[in-house]
Order: sequence, then structure tokens, then C-alpha cells
Amino acid sequence: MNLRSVLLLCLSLTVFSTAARGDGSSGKVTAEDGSPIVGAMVTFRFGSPFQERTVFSGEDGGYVVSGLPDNSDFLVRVRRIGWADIRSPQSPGDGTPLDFTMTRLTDPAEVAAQLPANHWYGLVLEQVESDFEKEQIVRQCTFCHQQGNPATRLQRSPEEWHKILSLMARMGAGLDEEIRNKVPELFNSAYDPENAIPKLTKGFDKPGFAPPPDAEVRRAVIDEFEMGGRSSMQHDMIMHPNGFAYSVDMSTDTLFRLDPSVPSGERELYPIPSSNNPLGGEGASGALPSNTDMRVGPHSLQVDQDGDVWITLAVGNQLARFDIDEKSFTLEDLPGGIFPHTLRVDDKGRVWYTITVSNHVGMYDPKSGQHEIIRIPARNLGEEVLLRMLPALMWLGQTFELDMGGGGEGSGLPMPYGIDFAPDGGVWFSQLNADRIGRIDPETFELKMIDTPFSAPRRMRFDSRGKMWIPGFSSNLISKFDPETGKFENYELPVEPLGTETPYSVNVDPATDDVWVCGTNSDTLIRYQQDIDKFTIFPLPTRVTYTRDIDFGADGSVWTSNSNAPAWQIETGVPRVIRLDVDGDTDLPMVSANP
Amino acid sequence: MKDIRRVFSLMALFLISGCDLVDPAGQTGPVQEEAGILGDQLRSAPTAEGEQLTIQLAFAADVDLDLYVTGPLLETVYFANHESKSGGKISDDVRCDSEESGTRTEKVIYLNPMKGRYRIGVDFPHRCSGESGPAPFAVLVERPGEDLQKEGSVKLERFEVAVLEFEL
Repeated sequence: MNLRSVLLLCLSLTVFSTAARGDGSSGKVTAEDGSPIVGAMVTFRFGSPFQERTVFSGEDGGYVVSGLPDNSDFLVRVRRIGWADIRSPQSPGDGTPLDFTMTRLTDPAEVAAQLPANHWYGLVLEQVESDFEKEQIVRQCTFCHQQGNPATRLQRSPEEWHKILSLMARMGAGLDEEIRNKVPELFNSAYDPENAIPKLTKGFDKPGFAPPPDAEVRRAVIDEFEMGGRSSMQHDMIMHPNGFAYSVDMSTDTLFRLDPSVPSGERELYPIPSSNNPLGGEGASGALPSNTDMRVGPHSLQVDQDGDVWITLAVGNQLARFDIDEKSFTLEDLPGGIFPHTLRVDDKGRVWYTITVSNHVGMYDPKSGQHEIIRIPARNLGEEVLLRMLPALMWLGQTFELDMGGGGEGSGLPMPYGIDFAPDGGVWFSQLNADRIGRIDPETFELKMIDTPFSAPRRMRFDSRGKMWIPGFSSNLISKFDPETGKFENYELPVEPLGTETPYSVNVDPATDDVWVCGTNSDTLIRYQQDIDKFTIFPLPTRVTYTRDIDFGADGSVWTSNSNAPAWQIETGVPRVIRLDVDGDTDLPMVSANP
Repeated sequence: MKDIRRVFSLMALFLISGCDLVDPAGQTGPVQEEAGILGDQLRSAPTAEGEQLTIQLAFAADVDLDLYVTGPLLETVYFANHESKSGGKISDDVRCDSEESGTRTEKVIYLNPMKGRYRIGVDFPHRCSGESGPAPFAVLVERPGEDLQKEGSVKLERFEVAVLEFEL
């Protein structure tokens, strides 16, 4: 045991001998020389299933966390890029300050390993000269999971890369053949530790490397609630007006309810009837996640005027209505289309939803029983014919052997994706892979399509002023669209390294009109305050936090879920539902509206 | 034009693949017999030692099949995830260009297997040569106490997610 190890052991014993107070804790985070460490994330884990509450250390290294449960043991983690993580079990105690002394990392490889996936992915993208190829690689290689995280930044044989690309194509994320042929060399050279680590850690031992978040960000408190199991895929979550969070686990066909006002969060789960579907649902694609138990595939959810929760069942090809009082489901078969995706409920109680695989938008009126399936235009005749043949193709594919070559094509078929209502009631949607948005008249179903001046419009939302905010998943931006003038204004995301973000979704805070963006490849949530033209980036504590949607609590909190697929790539291996409180005002009870 | 070509290619594929109809269970007589032979070969050459858990997939040289084993922590070991946190490791991926002739095998070993549920999946991503049709396979699970065996077939580009599940 060398001197450094002895010192670390002594330090650990010092830390272990202190204790967290029942309802909160405070202390300082310093370096070995006693200087404060600013912007360290101090995370308290408690309960089972766990909740983790994270606060940031301030200018003097001090931190304060409140709202911790009484009489609970804790696991405290202290984290800051460039410093070794501290993990320290704690017992409830007497309020003695919990101070932590962090140790500088000297091994560049360890520092590089702490960086979010987008830093690593940037090494791939910087080698791609063609914008066309770069767009396709970004859109397709991050479709289900982060690219550049520890599980994906691996060097592989060319043969292994080609098999992976083939599997990706069968799951719906194909690349053009020319790009496929470049991938092995491209990714292997980018992820070669000999090249990557010096680039990623240049100047890591000097001030200015991985600067701390600014004071405004450091006020934030982040709560993460373990949700589901190790195969779970918490695709979307919402905040119900009653104060509960609801989340759908696509992998286990389960609706979860979280009461965040209870310390560590009280969970209830409701299995969704699967109608005896086979694994993968009706017409399974033939390329399922290996650990899935999905038979209906709950994907997206919204609350209607009665407080019931509507859910798209993507591979069951159904809509589900969950009565929150009776805690029971009513299922409604789709009369057409394949793969219901994202839904919204309009003022008349009608459910509008995108249907991605078959390129439709659907409407269901539960009062009258009326269904409408609206075919969205393809970009050309070939696509149109192919889309109309899809049901027959899928049926034939169950019976005949179709060798599609396993490569796919990067352009992909048009996919109606996000959906939202304009203040005038117009139903707007994005069409991923086709770089378009569209509007449907809610009464006449008349359709209008508009090209976007950026690629991969994904899940969009309106603000209170009637402007639509659209994330460009492969274009590293959000765009403001004015339906009256037809003009777009693009805002590049300032996530470093520039150009490496993949914003999956946006939502607009109804109280402030702030636009919130999923920092899907960088473990962040991003706020854009349109009134002062300012971006603020909030880092999230868990590595490999892949987010797909955002919602807001009645108390102004910002909510999302970690739905990286597969979940085993997530740090700790389990998904979480996440709450960000910007102002750090989170004393229990956390949601005042909760009954 | 590209999309029109794609549509016509698909239509042509249907016509070419023509009569290669398989029964709903994906089991045809000769295929099942071949799977049985593969199973016999696996049984005749056990590989597990001591308390380890060994899962083998056997298949013919004219196809590329892939073995997927999901352990109690619900992480899957397969050709692109060589090791899992629960201790599973997969042997080298056997592909069309592999030099092995005759019956081919892929193997996952857990030296100190965790208690819990295991799931075995088999995928058929590529045909190397030969005629179209389902590919026969056999799976052998060697575990302390009792071995398990499963024989079957899988269609091209169909991933049979759960051909066998068991508790340890």
C-alpha cells in the first residue's frame, strides 16, 4: 500500500465517520489542498426502489441538500469531471457537516471516461466531410441509444461493424451502403484510445477544462427515481394534474405511477392487457430487443379532460385508456395504420396520434366512436407505393423468406412523429426522415405540408404565442416556426463540442414560455429563454441519460425519463424518471397539488 | 427512381422466393431432422466444467446464426456485447467468412453463474450459401445438476427472442 493509498483510506474513514442529518445535509467539497471545488454534483441515494437527490457545490465548495427522509441510510456520491468519484455510505445522524475531499485524476483515460457520450461522438463526426453523410450517421446511429457512451465507443472488427449495421437496419435505422462501408474505419479510428484520449483531455490539468456550471445552474436540484427493472424502457412520462407522475415501460407493457411527495417516491404499477399477443406484438418486426417482454409496447401517454390517461400501444396497434380511479384499462383497436406513436388530446376530448411506420395520423373520438386515419403524403411515387404495400409486405414477410440484404437505406421512409395543437386548434405534426412538418384541419382533415430548412424534425410543441418549436435531431438546433408567416428561425444548440447534440424533443413551459430541450446525447436538459435569447445547460447526474420527452409539474419542475435502449448501457443499469427543479425549492412535500 | 427500384426489387424478391412456404411453427420435416443431428453433435461433446454454466448454439455452415444469452441482470451477451456484468462471455462470432467447416458453434460461458432467470435467443441475419428456407439449430445448456436441450429452426432475418428460458 503506497502513501497515496494510505491517505485515501484515512480520508475515507474520516468521511465514513460523519453522518447525514435526517431531513437534510450540508458540507463542503474541497480539493486535497483545501481549495473549494465548484460545481461538484453531490448525490444522496435513499429508499428502495431508490430516489437520488443531487445538488451542486457553490463558489466556496459548500452544498446544502434538504428534503431528505428521516431515519434513512444514504449512499452519497460526489462527482466532478477531472476528479475521482467519491462514494460514501451514510447513516442518519445529528447534522454534523458532511465534508468531502476530492482527488484529482492524473490518468487522462480516466478523465476521458467521465465525459458524456457527445464528446466521444464528436470525434467521429469531425472526420466526416460530407454533410449528407454526417446527417445520416447522426440520425440513425443515435436512434435508440447514445452514441459515444462506454458501451458504444468500442473498436470492432469490420465484420462485426457490418453485422451491427445490418441489425440496426432491421430495427429501422439503416445507412446507405456507401456510408456503411466507411463506418468501420471511421468509428475505429475515432474511438482508438491512442487518438481519442489525448484529444478529449487536452489541457485537462489546467483551469478551463470542463468548467463548472454557472451559479444559476448550481441552484438546481435534480431528483431521479428508479423506475422499473433492468430491461425497462421508460419511453415517455407525464406529470398528471393530480401531482402523480405516470410513465410507460415499453419493454414490460407496464404503466407506472409515481407519487413524488413520498420520500423515495411511492410507486404503483399497472400491467397493460396484452391480448395474448406474441412477443413483439402483432406483425413483430423480426428484430426485437433481446431482453424484451413487449407484447403491446406502450409508447406515449397524455391526460384527457376527465383525468384519464391515454396511451399509444405501438406494437399492439391500439390505444389504451387508463381510468385513474378504477385503475383499469379500456383498449381500442386501430382501424388502420401501423405503429401508433405520439398522441395529444384536443379540447373536444379527441385523441390525435401519429402512426409512424405506415405514415399516417389518426384521430379517435371516444364520445362518438369515430375513427379517422389520415394518410400523410410521401415524398415521391416510389415511397408512396412502398408505404401502401407495407401491410401486404409485412404479411408476406411472415410467410416467405425475404432477404433484404440487411443493409437498409439511410434516408428512411417518412415517419409522422411529434404532434401538437396550435392555439387555433390546427393539428400539427413532424415527419421525420422527410424533413417536413404538416398541418391537419381538425374538422375538414385538409392537409398542408411544409419543408423544414433543417434535418430531422422530431417532437415539436407550441408555445402560448402560437409559435411552434421544433428540434432538429440531426441538425443540432431548435427552430421557431411561425404558422402565420411560414418562417423558421433556427437556434443552434450551444452544447460543447458544438454540433454533437441530438435533441429528440422539446416542450414549452406553459408558465414562462421557456423552451426546454432534451440534451439526448450529452446527459443534459437545455433551457432556452426566448425573451432574453439565452440558453442554459443543466447537466444531469447519471451517465448515459437518453431522454425523449419533457413535461412540467404544477410547481414549475421539469420532468423527463431516461429511456436509453438497452437499459444496461445506463450507469447503474436501471432507468429513472427525472425531475429538475431550477430554483432548488424542493422541500417535502414536493408537489403541493398532490392529494 | 430509387424508391421505385426498391419497390420493384421487393416485388421481384417475392416472385423469386416464390414457393418457399414454411409452416406456421417454422418447422419442416427435413429441417427438424437436421436440427436433431445438430443436437446429437452437441450432446456428444459436452464442454462445461465444474460449476460453470455453458450455453452452445450449433448450426450448419451455410448460414450465419447468432446466439443471444440474457442473464439475471437482463443484460445480453451476443456478438456485439462480448461480456456482461453478470459474468457471461461469448466465444468468437462465427460468420459466413469463418474458416470452420461442418457444424458451427457459438458458446457463452458463465464461470460463476448468478442465480436467476436466463433467456436464450437465436437470430438468423445472413444466409451464406445454399437454398432458401428456415435454418435448423440446436441449443445445449450445460448447468450443474441438469442439462437442457432445444432444437428448432429460424427464418432468415427473424430473431427468435426466447427459444429457451430457464432458472438457475
